[in-house]
Amino acid sequence: MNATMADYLTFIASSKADSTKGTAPDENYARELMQLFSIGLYKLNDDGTKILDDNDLPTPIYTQEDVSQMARVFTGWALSSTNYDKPKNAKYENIQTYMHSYIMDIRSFNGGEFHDDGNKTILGETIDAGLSAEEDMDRAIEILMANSNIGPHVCRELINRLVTSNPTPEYMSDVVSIFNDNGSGEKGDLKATIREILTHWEARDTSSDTYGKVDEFMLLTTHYLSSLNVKALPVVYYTGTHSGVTTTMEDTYWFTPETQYYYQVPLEAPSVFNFYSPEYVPNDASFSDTGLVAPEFELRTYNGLIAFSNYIHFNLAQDRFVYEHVDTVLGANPTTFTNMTDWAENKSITQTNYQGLYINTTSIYKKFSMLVDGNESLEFKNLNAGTEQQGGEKALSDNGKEAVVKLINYLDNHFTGGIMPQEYKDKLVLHLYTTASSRNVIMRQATNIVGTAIKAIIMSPSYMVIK
Amino acid sequence: MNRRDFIKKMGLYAATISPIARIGGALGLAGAITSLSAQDFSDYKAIVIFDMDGGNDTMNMFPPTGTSYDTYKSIRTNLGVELYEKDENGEYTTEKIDLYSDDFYNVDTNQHFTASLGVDQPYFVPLDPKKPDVIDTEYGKEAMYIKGSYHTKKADGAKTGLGIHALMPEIASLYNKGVLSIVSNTGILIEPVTKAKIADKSVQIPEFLFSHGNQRELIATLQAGQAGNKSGWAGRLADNWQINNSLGLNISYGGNTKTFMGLSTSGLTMGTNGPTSYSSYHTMGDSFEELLKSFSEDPEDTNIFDKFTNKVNAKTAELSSDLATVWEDSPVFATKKYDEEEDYPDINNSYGDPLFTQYTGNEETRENLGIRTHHGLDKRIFEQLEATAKMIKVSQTEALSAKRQIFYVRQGGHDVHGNQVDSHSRLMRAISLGISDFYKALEAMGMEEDVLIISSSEFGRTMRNNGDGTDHGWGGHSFIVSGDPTFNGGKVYGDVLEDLGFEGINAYTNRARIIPTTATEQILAPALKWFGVTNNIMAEVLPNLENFRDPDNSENVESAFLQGVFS
Repeated sequence: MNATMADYLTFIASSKADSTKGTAPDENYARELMQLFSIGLYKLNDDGTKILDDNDLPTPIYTQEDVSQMARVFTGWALSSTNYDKPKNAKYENIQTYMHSYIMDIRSFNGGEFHDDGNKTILGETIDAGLSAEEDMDRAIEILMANSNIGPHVCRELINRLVTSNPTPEYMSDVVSIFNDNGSGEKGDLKATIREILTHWEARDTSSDTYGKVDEFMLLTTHYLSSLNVKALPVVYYTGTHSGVTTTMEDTYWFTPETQYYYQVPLEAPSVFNFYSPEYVPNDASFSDTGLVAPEFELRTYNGLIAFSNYIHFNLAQDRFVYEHVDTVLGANPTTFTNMTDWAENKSITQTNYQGLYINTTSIYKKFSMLVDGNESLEFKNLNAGTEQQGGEKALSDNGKEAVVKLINYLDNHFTGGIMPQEYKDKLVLHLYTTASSRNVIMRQATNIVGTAIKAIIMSPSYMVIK
Repeated sequence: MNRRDFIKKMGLYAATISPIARIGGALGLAGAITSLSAQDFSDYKAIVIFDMDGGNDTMNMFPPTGTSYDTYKSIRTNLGVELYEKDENGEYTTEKIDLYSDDFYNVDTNQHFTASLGVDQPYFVPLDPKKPDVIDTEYGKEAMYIKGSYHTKKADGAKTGLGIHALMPEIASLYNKGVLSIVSNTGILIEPVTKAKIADKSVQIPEFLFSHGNQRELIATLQAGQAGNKSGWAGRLADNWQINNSLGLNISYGGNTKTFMGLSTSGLTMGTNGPTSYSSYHTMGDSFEELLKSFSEDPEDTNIFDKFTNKVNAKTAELSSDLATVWEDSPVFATKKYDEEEDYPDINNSYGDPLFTQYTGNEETRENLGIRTHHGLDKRIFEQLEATAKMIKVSQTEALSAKRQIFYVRQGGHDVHGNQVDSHSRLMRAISLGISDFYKALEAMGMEEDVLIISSSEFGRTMRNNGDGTDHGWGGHSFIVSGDPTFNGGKVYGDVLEDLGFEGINAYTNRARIIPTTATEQILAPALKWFGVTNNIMAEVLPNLENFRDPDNSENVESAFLQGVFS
């Protein structure tokens, strides 16, 4: 079993109960194994609906007693160590420093010295006495897998992440029945389950007004970056704040400085409940009247939403195209680069500045240039009305306006698959005319148009809502 | 969904929706009936929820000084705060720690603690962070953590039985000044319980005790014992009051909090650098905000996710423009941070530095502040409190004209299963300095009578010491701060327990988690009454409150309130 999980959910060195010391096994992992990772909180039917009691209230699937019993299973484990005799853990032995491994699986300590091998009853099933820590763990997993709740709970979460926030009971039933039996008598075949989730007719039918989900910021970011063929720049990483010692990370996407502002930093969820609650119901009649959930909306705080928009804004302003064609034209830096390492060195990419991700929008500008001038020379000669190209504020020529309309269609196809409603596109086009005309430098006009267009498409429901 | 299912579902929320709001919220008519639920206040009041996330070991923050001391020390051993100073033989001397003694700590003319600079320091007073540290080995981290406490006293001079930890002289001075009170042994309860009644299951106790996620949800919602979706207590208040200005009732600087999630309101979560606004390209026409708003005017949109995305975009855009203007006029406190002129240059923190100065553990401040630490104090709580003070001030401007506000700040890191000496020392120092800075900011702005701070934590910690830390407990202590003359500060409320033993009447489970004797609702209720919450709305905001009525006075819901907190 994975050492990092065992440590994070604190059952390393959890021992069987000791009445003289007044200690009892650690219940952290036992609870989350059931609540978060397998059977959930409430009793469910196979179609995902809650089983209600005589007062029409949901009933818990596990009790505190189940948690205590499960906690006894996860006793007597230790981190493996390159030095086998000295596992991490001040509670087993009073030793403070070890070389212990988070890469190797955990192991049962000292032949199970601290393992509680008494018989246990969990969720109505028994685990016999006299088993080793490993055997107990296997039995516990068997019991969870056999439980009727695991199908609906796991399938609900998978559907929520992959397709829609509110699957119909019919959709749920179909998926759960594959989870429970993949056709060859196996329960828990995730490959078959996911295939069913993605190919089920409900996953492809967007006609219902309550169908779909909004994407979380982290995934919106990766989608945006992938759309622009992102590459990782070599990043200089300081190994200690004051030590001055550095190493260079290659082929690593350094997200932390970028994403902390909208509160989704990879691997840094604020709690074991992840970044948002699966039960979140937005404070809007269309959701709260009928109890429809929209978990990812919990992230959309005032601050988070603006931070995400601004992230896109600044990311676009710092890509290679801008650096080479805009700054260059304005005399900021005449050099162009032929490879990423030179680019990275020149930009002094470190773990704390914002340019560890490399995108290059040149192809989009070349497309725009083609629409405006019929060539890829990036001169945009026919963008403006009148003949002067620099100085004063410019209105777009008819040719320029037509090019903008086509550019929007192109970008919409590129980012959303072409689903943006015409009304939105019309509004965006009008907005872009006035955004462009405020600049008196051709390249700035072009970047205003492209930058605003990309950002507006990304902030719109066409991009943010997954259907 | 048919009507029967609809009503059944509403039944789940029965305890939490007023008859008016139930109709309004459920049918989306909340806006139309604001004239019935909105509260019109002529004065300004604010509550600040000071959340200590992770379960603060308040047993050590306000350690016992009375009859339970010996048991406490024998269980807590190396993590037990000393009662008296020890002499060179390791023997207890007579009590030297006296809250009211002048030679004990210095106070300024406003009765606030000030760290004296340079000269003979009383034994654990935090030292001047600007000067080279002269801590000798006796002041090592471990010894510092258990050095002692300020023994709080009653009006007649007798000890209350609780102390204030040595690392919190600013809190002690606020107690002494009469603006801070402690509430002993509080926690999450559904109804009053005793150990015997829990054992024979004749009372309900909160579900999933000792689990962070669940207890954090319960302390935010105060709906222990109720199944179904829960809502935040302050969110329910906002649902009822339907505040009309663009800020609404609830503002968080501590991240998203369930406390503010109502059924029709969700509060504002803001960053501490001031309200952010949309960056955009220069335009001759409409702003980027206007463009986002215009998307929401598409009559063709029917999908609820599309519509709500647009709605949130539009609302954010609107607020963004409102706030950007007023924030420019917000008061400047810590010049180190802003390089601007302070608005209140004569008012400093207890070290003589500007208010809200951050001591983050760079070369200058390492190993200072009266505790050995390489890490200094986590700056985030200072940033949140400073932003709160600024927002309180700008909310008074005509553009915003707020009358009632609830703020939420959050200090993380209290889950001290290990390394408690280091972590908890720094947390307590930050609480003391931060609360003091905040109170002084209020005084500077002339608003100390209008704001009430109330502490919150999902649980206290176990009596049992696991070696270098403590585990999830149940009961813990709380504190309230207010300069309002009707608030009775300088007191200890609630039950100061005499028996803290493993086998005693207050210990639950074999780790000796202390059973609370006062529920969170009982402290919140008088504070909310001060805030202007009427009893019918109080019943929805605090649904379990009625379970704590005095059986001899059960007609009167106010018999459930903690008594005497306000005159």
